[in-house]
Amino acid sequence: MKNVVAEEMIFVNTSFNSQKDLFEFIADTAFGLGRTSDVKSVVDGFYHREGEYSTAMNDGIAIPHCRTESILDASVIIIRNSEKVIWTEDEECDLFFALLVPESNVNQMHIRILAQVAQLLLEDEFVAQVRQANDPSYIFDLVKELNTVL
Amino acid sequence: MKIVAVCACPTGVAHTYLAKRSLEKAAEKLGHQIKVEAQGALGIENEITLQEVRDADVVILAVEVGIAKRDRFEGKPIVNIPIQTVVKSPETVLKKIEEKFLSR
Repeated sequence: MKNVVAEEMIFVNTSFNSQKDLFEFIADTAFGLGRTSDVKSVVDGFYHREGEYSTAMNDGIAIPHCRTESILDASVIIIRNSEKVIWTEDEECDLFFALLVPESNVNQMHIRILAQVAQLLLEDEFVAQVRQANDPSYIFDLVKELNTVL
Repeated sequence: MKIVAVCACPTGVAHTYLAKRSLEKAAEKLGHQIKVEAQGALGIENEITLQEVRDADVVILAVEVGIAKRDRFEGKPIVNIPIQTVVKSPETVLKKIEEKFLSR
């Protein structure tokens, strides 16, 4: 069982310029790490979820997420892009916390960790620290304790 | 005010808990009593009791999916709010409810 947060899933100063590029990168990354068995279903899952209502929050943050059978391990992929990406007609985002949720509820602790990661985004100080970070390891230090909570 | 609220989103992992925490923080700041129930991927958490429903001035439903035990709230003033609005501007939501219910 893989950890929910990992340094290899944190990226800073990236230069994506569309939601599509971002979704594909996230899905490819998860596939490369053996966390999903299928790239397309993850990308489709993100679009499907955005279609219900936008996952953009305040302050340029979005939390795209999806839950599909192809997801093997609960995962958080963190991306701080250099530029804002158009998210919806009236939302632009540059900080992304993507949540990959396995279809099965068997590992309740992992679901809880995903929920806790999302709640960190309500803490102004946490967001400010993530925004200042120039190194994935620094962001990882801010979130790594969540792997062992509960 | 005494408020009870239920949050439920389609995936049951992110917005359910974000909305719960947002409402709790905003209520504390504005001096309201609140109990927020989450109906997410982990089932019902922090369940609202019948006594708490009876005592509440208002029920907030921030639900984007069908919820369990909705009949508890029958006969109470219910405010339906998109869960995304609750996450984005919880204080505005509570202030509007306050205006509406305290002026009656």
